[in-house]
Amino acid sequence: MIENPCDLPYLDEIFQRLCRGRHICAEDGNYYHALYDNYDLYQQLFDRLGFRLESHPRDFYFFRGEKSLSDASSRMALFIFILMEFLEGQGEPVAESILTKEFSVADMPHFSTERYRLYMKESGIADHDGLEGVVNNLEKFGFAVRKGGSFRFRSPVYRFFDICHAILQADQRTAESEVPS
Amino acid sequence: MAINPQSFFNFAAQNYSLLHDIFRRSGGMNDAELSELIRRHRVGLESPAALIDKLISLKIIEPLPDATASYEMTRTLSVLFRFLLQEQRLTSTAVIQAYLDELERSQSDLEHAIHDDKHSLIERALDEITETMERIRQDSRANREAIINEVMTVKSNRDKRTVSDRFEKINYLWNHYLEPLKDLIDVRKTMDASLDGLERLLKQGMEQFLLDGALHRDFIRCSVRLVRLRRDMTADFMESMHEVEPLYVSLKQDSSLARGVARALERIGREGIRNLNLPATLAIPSGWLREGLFNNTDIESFLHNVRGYQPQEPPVIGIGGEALSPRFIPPDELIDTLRHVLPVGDVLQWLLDRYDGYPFPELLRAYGRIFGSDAFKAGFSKEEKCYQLPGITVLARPLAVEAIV
Repeated sequence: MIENPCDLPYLDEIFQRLCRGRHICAEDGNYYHALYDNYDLYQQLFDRLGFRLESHPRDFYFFRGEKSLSDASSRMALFIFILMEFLEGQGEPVAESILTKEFSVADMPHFSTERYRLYMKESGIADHDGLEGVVNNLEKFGFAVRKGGSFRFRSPVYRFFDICHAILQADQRTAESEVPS
Repeated sequence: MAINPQSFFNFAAQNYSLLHDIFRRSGGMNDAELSELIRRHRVGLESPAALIDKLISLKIIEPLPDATASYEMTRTLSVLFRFLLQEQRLTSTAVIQAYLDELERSQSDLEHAIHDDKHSLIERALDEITETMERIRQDSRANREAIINEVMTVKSNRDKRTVSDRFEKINYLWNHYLEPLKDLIDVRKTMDASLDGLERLLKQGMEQFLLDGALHRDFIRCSVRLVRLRRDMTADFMESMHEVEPLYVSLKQDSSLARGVARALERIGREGIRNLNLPATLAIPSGWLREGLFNNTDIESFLHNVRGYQPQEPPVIGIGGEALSPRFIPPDELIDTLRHVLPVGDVLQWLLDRYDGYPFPELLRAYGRIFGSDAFKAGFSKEEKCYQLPGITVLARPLAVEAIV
């Protein structure tokens, strides 16, 4: 039983990662297990310090920021949305492919059609180097792991799936409210 | 004109590849196309025209109703081919429901015939019931095969259909075949009640016509078929559900994800990416430690109280130059002291006397050192002794020590 919050295992390392926006999942080994075993204590401690630790149903942890938020979020989301739509168009199982496949940055479809190019331009990504930057950010925040020219996603990518579900539900609610009674 | 079955099957065996090709042309074919097929597959010297006549006379093909000199395979033979090739088509539950209605009518006929004791009517009603039950059973089995085929096609996705397309297909199967079929076999619903009624009636018939050998056997056969029908329909349904359900669930999730992505991209294209306010939704800290430092009021007020605090000089901790605390018995001194007074018959009593005023835990620690020491030979007395100390009563067998020779 840990009584002193300062005795929490890997407190320093976990805090350093979380406050930089990183998502900690099972692949992070000891840091994940420390959070899993002492979630309430970590949450209380971080709450006292003004940080909001959240646990996702898919078993990963992250800080929900309030004031200084990363503006890389939009570009990362757009990157993943385009990839998901492309996979769907190829007849691939979307969630399964995202979670299990290894992708090559060079083969990304983000500049393959005029529509995708417009989206990318809108988010300020002009070329392949821009894509590299997005993948680097995905790795930095714990959404993906890079291995040379390729990368694969980690379980925290579910946060982008959540956004898709939320957008769909919001649209459905709007559509239902617009149906004349 | 009736067909000679032997001639039919001989012809079918000799011309199987031709028949199979005709079966594959589900939309029918004109005279020229059929002649071409015949030339490709014929095994004898017959002319295409003669072979077409033979195909018509054996009722393998028939003219299409909406075109001249065009043919299609007869429905009876198509059904047989589908059965042989395991390519059954789905029978809607409306058709099965019609069979059930027919079964109820035959059941009512049987009831009246039993009541009136009319043997020929009973036999006819039992025949009709058997025929209908077998049709239901065959269609249920065909449905199971058709559903499994459909699931395999969707799973393998050879034609690279999108998730939404595949979900539509499975959703159609789910809503049009499985859900209604579930209603049909549900024990609380009409079909089960109707079959229960039939079972009671057959049982009544068996008892009533126990002495009429042929009729009694007919009732038994019909009852057994009823049991098989119920068992097979439930098995077909369970097997179909087992195939469809996991695919339905996974495609439903994927489909909803794909639709969500499509909506998100549509909104980005129409309103711009900023409009989705993704940084706030994801709320990923930027990594700057601006937050968390003073946004907690408890910490902030604590820091305000601390402001202006003047630290005092820390207290000086003395190091060395002082006598050791009398509360501690140095081990070496303990052993040397004991050596001089040996033998000692009761070590604990000796410690209590010699180190009077020392805390009891320290005395016990000394007792342990003596007991564990290699310098003495130790032994316990057989009698127990009670030691009275302030606030403590110790019950122990006295430990006696003497020096090792």
